[in-house]
Amino acid sequence: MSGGFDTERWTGLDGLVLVAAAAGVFTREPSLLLAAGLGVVVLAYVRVASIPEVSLRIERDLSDATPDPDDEVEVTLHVTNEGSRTLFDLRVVDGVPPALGVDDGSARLGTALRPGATATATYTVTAVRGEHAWEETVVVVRDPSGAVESRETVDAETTLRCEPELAATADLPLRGLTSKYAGRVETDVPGSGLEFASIREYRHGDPIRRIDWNRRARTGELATVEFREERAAAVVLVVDTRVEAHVAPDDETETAVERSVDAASVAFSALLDSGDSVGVAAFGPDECWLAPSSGVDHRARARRLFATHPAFAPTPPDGAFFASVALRRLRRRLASDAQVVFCSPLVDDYAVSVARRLEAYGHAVTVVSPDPTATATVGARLARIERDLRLRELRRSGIRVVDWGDEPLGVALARAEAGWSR
Amino acid sequence: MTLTRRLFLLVGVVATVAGFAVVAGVSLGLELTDVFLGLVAVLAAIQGLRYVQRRRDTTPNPTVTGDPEARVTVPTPGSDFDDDLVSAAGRRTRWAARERVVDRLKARAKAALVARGGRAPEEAAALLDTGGWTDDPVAARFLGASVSIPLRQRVRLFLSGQSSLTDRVERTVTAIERVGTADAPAGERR
Repeated sequence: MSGGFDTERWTGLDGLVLVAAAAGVFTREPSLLLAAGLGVVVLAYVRVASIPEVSLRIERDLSDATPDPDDEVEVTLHVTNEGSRTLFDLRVVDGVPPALGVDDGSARLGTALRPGATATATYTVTAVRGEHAWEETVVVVRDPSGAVESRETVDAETTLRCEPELAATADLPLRGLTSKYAGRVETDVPGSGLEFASIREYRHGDPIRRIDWNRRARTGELATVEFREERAAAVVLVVDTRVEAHVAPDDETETAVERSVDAASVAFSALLDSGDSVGVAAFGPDECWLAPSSGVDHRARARRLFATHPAFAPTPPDGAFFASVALRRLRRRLASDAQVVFCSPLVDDYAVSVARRLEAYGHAVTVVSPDPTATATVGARLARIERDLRLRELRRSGIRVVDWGDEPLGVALARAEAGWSR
Repeated sequence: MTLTRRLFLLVGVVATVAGFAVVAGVSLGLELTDVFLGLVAVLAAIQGLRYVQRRRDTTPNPTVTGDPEARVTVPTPGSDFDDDLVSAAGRRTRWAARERVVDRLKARAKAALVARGGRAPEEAAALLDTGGWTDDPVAARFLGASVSIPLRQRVRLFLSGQSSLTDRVERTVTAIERVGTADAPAGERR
């Protein structure tokens, strides 16, 4: 007998037995007394009911432990009774990771299990980005009458790791703030480049290729053509991972944080491809910082970070978060010439103030905002109005905003870019 | 407590032993008269009813498991406002929640007038006071303007069966949505 507890299932049967017996005595009806006698037998059984020592081995097989996003993964749960007694009523509930949903089959099992026998449950989950560890499996054992139950947990470590490839499916236009390295952001600094900027007087040491020979032929003076210099930017992608950002229009849709991380990973790849140095930060209780850099190693690091860092998990964090401290720390880490791409659903005013403060400290801020609002209830409609007002406020203060609805990110970026004036 | 229990236990043991003795044929001078049987029946019935009553006071506690199959659910933006609306209809929390609802709608209406309608903040506040920001008298009235609602509309509101507060909030939100769009009132009325 392991630590079972009384379920109170048969409480009150003793009362019924006594009432039946009383009625039998009073009416001189033997059948009622007989019924009371049966009740006494049941009561005696309940009194001695117990459950044997539970010793179970649980194994879990995944059809693919490293799937791509949206792949279906078949999970097979094997439960083996390693004890010496039969378990008459065994119920198993598997600890599916919170971020994964069961699409097909059931993660539960109800069976009787002889010693040494194995029962199997199979179900299918759809993979989403992240590292998902299975939680403890809950095992409930009852005696046949249901009078005593015991609840135990068995741990079988299983991890599903889903690391999407970083693909640059959309190009993120940057603002004018740049580093001193050559790149693709056109600046107003005259120098070497592609787009004509101005002509100035020749100075000793100017390259011969940039001398305006037509002018020389016409007027006899030496002049140098200047182009707009193209430089690389240092960009930090800041993802809003606060509890407030964990919102979704309904239960089936991706949460705003998942979409923000998607947007950040697309932007990361696009910016890295165009020669900018890119960093990643999370603005939330779980700290995450990847300093701006470039190169193949950096890409691999970022890919792992987006997929497995707890800050970017699709489940809301539960730690305490001191927003102003986090903002100060972020500011200290940002180089003065770093641009910021802030990915946030903008569902509260603090997100707006983060963007505005970063802009005020001299970082050119672009906000990429996945739209998590719905229209089903009055509150949802009001939240949509409020978010729209926040977008307007940001735009009015000179911050570029990409409002990303249901369409692919590339479409939203192209539409936003068309509305921006350089 | 323990003393009475012990006493009852003693009585029970004595009664059981006496019962077995009677079954074994020892005469204790007790006859199975109607009165005796009736007494036993009444005692048993009272005790039985006590046990049944105890059952009514205890709740069975079988193990309850969670729903690990479902994905973690996150709130929808604006669900806090919906909650406020529900408690504004409740009895105890009515006034505070109602104030929150009105304050929030008022602030948003003003912000919308400034950001979408292109008004100055003072102008927006004045418009809210006169009700000129919308052509829906219900919405205007809800945000504090003293606009009279036509009798026909009052009757219709009354008969619509919806909670009056929900209905008014719904209309106010619709009115705020329309601020700055083509079908907003062109200027100040009245």
